[in-house]
Amino acid sequence: MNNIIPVKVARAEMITPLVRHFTLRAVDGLPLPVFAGGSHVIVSMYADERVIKNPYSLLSDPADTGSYGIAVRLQEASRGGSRYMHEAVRVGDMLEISRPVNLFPLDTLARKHLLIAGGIGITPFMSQIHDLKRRSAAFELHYAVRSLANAPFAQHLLNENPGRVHLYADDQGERLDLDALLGDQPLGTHVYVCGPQGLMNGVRAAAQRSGWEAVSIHSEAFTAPIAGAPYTAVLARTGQEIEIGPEQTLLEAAEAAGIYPNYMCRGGVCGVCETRVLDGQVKHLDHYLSAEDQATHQKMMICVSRAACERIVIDL
Amino acid sequence: MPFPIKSKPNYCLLAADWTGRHHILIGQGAGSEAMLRAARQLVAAAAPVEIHFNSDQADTALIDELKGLSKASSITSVTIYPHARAVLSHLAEILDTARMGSRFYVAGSEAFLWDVTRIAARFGVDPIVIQREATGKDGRNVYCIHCKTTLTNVTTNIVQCPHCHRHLLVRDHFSRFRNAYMGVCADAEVPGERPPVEEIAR
Repeated sequence: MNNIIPVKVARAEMITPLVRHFTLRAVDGLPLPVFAGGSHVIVSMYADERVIKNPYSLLSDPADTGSYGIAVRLQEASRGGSRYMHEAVRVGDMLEISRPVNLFPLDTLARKHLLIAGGIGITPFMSQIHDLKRRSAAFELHYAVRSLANAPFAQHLLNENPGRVHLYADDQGERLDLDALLGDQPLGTHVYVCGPQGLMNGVRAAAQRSGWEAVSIHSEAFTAPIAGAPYTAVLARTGQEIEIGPEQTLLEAAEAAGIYPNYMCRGGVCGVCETRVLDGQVKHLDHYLSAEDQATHQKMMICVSRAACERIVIDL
Repeated sequence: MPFPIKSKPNYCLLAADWTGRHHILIGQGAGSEAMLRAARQLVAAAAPVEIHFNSDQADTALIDELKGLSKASSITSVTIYPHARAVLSHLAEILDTARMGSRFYVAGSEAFLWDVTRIAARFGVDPIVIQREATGKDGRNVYCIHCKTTLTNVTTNIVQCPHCHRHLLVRDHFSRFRNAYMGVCADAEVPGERPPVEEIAR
């Protein structure tokens, strides 16, 4: 709904058993928007019964306006988005993407950038590394993977960035020692982490133990909305009632009913979709509201959170 | 109450930040009392504490007390610099080898506080990890926007630029980049017609 760019799938290839790499080009042949490394786009997928919208980091060179690259990991407990991207999308198909949004920018005044990736969390760093090299900035990438066979783009990154990429394969017993890494960095280093929740928590905790201030710690969570019990939402402005299915978010249900609330990240981190709750209890699944706000049950992030009861009344 | 002009800096009383892994105190002149106060709090720190102080125009009794702190086990070093710029020159060396987890406590004139902050910024240190306590009676640095001269120790609201001779209105807009308040021609429309000269509080 907001600034959609129709794109065509120019290439699609499996680069590991679970990861599919797509190259997207604008349908109208015009240049795609320039973006800063760390940006993502929201891909709209028109599956049989519903529209699925998932954010995917742009991994291509931000200066390349001819095409965008994204990589999708097939999630076992998928709501359908990654499965759709793996099984239903073919080369030549059209997709709709949003304009790029950046919630994970580099801090350009940093003296050194420490990039820590876990699995598919490598994607935002790939576009950032293009920007870092263009600026001749100091950086290191520490990339933790389950196995070398499941290490998307690892060989490419090692080849392109000799001496700056460190790979840790779990099945080889290689461990990233976060306390050792974060305990001895020069002043002015910023750390960026993207990957599973455990890795992100680990980096934050290690950084705090070593006395890093919060402004130097950056993270991007790839949280897919969590399923839950179905419930009814009453849209107070019109009195309309909508049903939210177990695999569906309130935002998606509203859109399916022809109502288009504001949103940006669809991942519970940016705050744009905050909606007032007039009645009912909320099951908060976001990373945006403070604990105090969550306790009041007067606000919810409709892109990820759910009702904790059967019926909720919201200001929409 | 915060100043209506957002860029006008606010200062604090130096206070130990126990989340730090290394405490670095830097001071000058009238900042000796603040430096002592902060150092005495940090004596209880498990992390190393180093003190760098420019004694030019400082109270000698307080300098002696600072030197005496080096006997405390947690205070790793107390270095006294006799010359005004010496501590700033040494600062770059300190920053080059310092690690993440360091905290900075600075006390001295306003101009000194921002000299330190600007040098630290070259090393990627965010101003938020530097505590600044403004001390002493020094006036403002004022930047003449017309001829780009920086005047020092300005204590009045109108001051004459020694280079271009314009009479400047000293505004509360402060540039961290230039370490100076904005000075703009006070009588551009009708030369000679200026507001009365008044003393300004820092």
